[in-house]
Amino acid sequence: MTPSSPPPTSRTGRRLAVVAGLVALTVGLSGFFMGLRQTDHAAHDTRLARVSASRPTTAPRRRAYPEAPRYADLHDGRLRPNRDWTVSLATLARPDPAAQYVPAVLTAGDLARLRTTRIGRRQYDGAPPVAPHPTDQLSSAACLECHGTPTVVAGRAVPQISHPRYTNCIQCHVSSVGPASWWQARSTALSEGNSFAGSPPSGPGPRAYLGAPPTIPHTTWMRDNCMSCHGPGGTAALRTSHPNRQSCVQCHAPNATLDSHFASGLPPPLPVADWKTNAPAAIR
Amino acid sequence: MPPPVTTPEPVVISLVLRLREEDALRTTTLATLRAQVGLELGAIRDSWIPLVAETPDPRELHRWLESLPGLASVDVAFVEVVPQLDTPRYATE
Amino acid sequence: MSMDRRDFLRTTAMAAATAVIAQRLGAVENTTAPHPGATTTPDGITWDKAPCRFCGTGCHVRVGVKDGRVVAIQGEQLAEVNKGLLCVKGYHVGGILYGQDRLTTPMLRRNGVLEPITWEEAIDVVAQRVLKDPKGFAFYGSGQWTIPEGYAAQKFMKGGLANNHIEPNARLCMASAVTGYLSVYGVDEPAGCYDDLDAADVVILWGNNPAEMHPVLFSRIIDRRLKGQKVTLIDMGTRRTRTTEHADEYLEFRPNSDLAIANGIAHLLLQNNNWDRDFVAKYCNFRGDNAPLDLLGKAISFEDYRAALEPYTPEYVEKISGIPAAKIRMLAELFGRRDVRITSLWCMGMNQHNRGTAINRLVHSIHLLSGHFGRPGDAPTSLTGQPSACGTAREVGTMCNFLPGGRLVANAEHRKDSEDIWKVPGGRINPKSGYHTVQLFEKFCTPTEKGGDIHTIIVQVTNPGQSLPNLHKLFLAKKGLADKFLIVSEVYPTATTAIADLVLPAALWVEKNGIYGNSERRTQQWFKQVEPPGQARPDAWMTIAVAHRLFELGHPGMKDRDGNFLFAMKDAAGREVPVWDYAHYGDINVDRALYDEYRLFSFYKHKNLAPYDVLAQSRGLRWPVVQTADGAWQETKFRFTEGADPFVAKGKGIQFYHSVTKDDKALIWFCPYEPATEEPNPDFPTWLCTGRVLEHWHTGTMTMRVPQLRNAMPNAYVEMNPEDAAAAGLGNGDLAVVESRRGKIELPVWVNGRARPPRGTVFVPFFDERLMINEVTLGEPCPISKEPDYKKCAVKVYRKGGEPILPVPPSPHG
Repeated sequence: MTPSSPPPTSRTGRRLAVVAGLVALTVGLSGFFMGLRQTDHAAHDTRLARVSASRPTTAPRRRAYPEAPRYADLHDGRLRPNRDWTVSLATLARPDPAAQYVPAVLTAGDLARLRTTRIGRRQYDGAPPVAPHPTDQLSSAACLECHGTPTVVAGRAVPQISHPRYTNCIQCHVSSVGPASWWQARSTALSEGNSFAGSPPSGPGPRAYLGAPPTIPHTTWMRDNCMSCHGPGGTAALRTSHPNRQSCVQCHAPNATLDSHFASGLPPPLPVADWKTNAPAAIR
Repeated sequence: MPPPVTTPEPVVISLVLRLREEDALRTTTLATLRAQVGLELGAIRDSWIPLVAETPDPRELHRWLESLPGLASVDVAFVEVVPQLDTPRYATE
Repeated sequence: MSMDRRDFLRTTAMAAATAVIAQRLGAVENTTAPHPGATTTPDGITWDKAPCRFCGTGCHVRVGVKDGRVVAIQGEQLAEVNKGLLCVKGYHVGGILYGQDRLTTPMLRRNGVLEPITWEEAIDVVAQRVLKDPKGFAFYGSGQWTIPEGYAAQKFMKGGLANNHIEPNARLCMASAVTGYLSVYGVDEPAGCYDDLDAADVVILWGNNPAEMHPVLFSRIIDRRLKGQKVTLIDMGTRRTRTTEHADEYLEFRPNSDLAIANGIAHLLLQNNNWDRDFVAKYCNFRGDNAPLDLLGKAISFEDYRAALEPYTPEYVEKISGIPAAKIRMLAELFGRRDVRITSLWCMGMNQHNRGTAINRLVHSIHLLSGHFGRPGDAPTSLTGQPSACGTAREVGTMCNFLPGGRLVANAEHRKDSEDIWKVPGGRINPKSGYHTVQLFEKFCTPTEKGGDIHTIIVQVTNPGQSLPNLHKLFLAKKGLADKFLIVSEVYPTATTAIADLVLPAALWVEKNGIYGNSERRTQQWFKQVEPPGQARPDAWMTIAVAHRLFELGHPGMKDRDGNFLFAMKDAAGREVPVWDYAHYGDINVDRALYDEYRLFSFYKHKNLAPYDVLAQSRGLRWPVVQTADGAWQETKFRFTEGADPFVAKGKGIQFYHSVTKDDKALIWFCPYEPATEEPNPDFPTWLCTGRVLEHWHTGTMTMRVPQLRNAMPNAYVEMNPEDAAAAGLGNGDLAVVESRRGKIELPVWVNGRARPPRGTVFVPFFDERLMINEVTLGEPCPISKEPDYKKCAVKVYRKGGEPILPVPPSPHG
């Protein structure tokens, strides 16, 4: 403060006022925009909680070209992978454990549909099912990612492996959509038909009396994991009413004849000779 | 409280009998078995006979069969108590 | 209420007692029944056993039949080979019987069109073609022939017509394995068995792809890892396959350089001084090639052997093969260890090889030199591709120079043996070898006036029109030749029936009785379970019927030394049964009659076969099967090893009792590396390899008619390296031309698919009859085994309408 200059109260005051105004304006504007963002975030959070695995709440408008999103919309979760985007293994859904206790309401159509699907995938009951999707041609390494534990992919239940794990899945399970279907190079339909009619899936298992546990109406070879068809990953038509009980064969008896454990019939194989001790394997 | 009155419950048993090889014995044994009241004989294959009986004292029956000279063996296949559902177990309910 | 319960209990009681009796009686009855009998399950399906119709693994299946049709298949849980597991082909084998275009009537081609005729006429046509000139008549059979079928043809030709022009298609797949075994051990077929796979620590694959070709055996190896066992898998190949995905080591080598690799390993074993001196001193001699090359070569000294291996240093082998020297050293170190058990497996990579006999000998030799032989898990084992290449083609000897049971037409003693068993007059059998397969078809496709002295071939159970190499020269050239006659017994229209003059409908698999022999010396029997369609009949009947027609027409060859019909058969009561009359063919078990006679041949080379009834009760038995003192039948798992092989004398340890040098010793061979017969050059710069795929078996005539298998693999393709494809302007699905000096075809390209060929190579499968790669293949045979090479020839691959712009792959030969 110098004694020579007059007190510039009005000019400083005005400048101060302008600066204060600018500051206020800036603060206000940033506050406004930040507020916008925050509102967006908050809304985004609550929306995410609802969206999870369900479809977008608004139906997309149909256009010839995909609509470009606004920058503000980039975070709102409405952008989804397009149809050909590979589902990330990390986001595979598991079936809701609570849902398996809800009794399935079945129509006659459900069972018929199940039979048709099963028959369509297997040459006969007990055959290894063909995969209705293209498979990796080189290796089985990825199969168990989806088929190892109960999984839901794109809203569909993925059948779980029903037999003990073997290493070479693609030795028995081939794809029903082979390589040429990708190239459309040749027609894949059989030009000559085949009249093979395989044995169909069995119906419900016979019971000793009303209320008794049904006996197993099919072979148990390669069907060690009952829950793969009858558990939460299976279709509603086959689902068990009591998934909490884990020891199935304690009550549900297998059928020895179906399982080829014949009491009479083909004799058992030779006991294997121990070549070191020279004890022979004998047939009489 | 009066003590429970227990009536002996009949038991359904089935036995697998094997006849000895001697022909003379077979004929008389079969005749004896058929004559005995309360024994039901099933289809006889080779020397094997299935037999069903209903008796309150199965051990008595078993001993009697084993005493027959014409039977080589008596094996038990099935034993079950017949529940007497329409007769109260206790004299008073 | 209580009355009902009481009745229920009494009924249950009676049922229980009756069941106990039934079980006791059943157990007693069963052991005396010769036919175990099929069993019916509650759903009305009758199950009976059979070996699978497809590959040489020989899995056992249960066939479910209902209302006269096959409706289901199960893997046989009680079979040692596969223990209930099958591959996709095996699971769908029931469908092969039911393609809609199944052949059901005999047909004769008149004016270019096949017209239906009766069986009587058809059999007469065949007989007339034989009579036209019996010396120019040839029989082309198969490793899918059942043993009785092959035996009937063998007896008909060699014991009847005195004609040695009988060859199996197994000449095209196993002949080099045969000559390999013969020149090393003096007798054919693996000494080990599949149990080696359960015991091996290291499994080395020499150019084969078992994940696709022998899937059940491959699973048997790799599933051991799931049980916590350690198995080291070394995949030596010319391209990455599905097998490589499970391998610990992948060693990629240049085609034909497997000879150098084997020699490189032997070289290092000597240099590192860790070859098994003890084993070699006791059990081996050394051998080298004669000039010209022959089967048994000449004795050489150990010093000769060592000197011959001198040039095969790891660096030299690296230069030839492309496998790093360090990896050659690794292999040699493995072989040098006695604490690991090593099984070598191979199939067509080593057999369909222009030096097939040599490479077979060399791999056996490495195992012998290092002592990796004779213990479970230590085995050099050649796998077969066909269900009975061993059982029929090799053991029955249906080749131009063999007689049954390991005998040779050139050997007077063997001829006499055979004449005695067949009861034909002495001197009947022709001592001169017939034409081998490639020669046979060459002659057939050559005009008569130019020396084509084969005028008629009857083909049973195989498809040479698709499986012969160099098809234009060896098969299609027949088309213009009016005096050549092709008779084909088949189940479906194929590339062979397309130019056949007479087509005979045949019964397939469980439509007839049969016996097969798989890769581990296991002979397995099955009974007929369904009727063949229409007028289809078993091949054995066709051969017997033709023989009888000739007998009626007075051909002396159809009489044995007593003047009786060569195939006279009697029933249990001693009455003759006219089995050539199809109405009576089922009166006796013709299979058993033929087999029991054939069995007599099997003892000479200690390949003792079990009697038919014993086979019928088992799921296959590995020969030699001998009867022990208490009457039981014992099979042999490990041949030549004391304790396991009943013919090895006590105290001998290992005894090669059919030794070439007659001193109980096997032979360690030296054979040099040679480049392939047709190497790439600037005109044809790419290696072509051919082979199979998992879903289809061989020429696909059966599997392409099963929807599940066809949809999984609908057509052939050319597998290319992605860089080569890019350089040629080709992408997935584009049509490429694959052209060789012999022919060309167009195929869709497949990049980054099921296998990964290296730069400068392509692979084409041969199952597709619309895209027959054998029009392009070379077919130069191994000079000793006469087996053609399907795995290497030179082609150019270019975009249809374009020109090849691929560089020549680098060659070690400059």
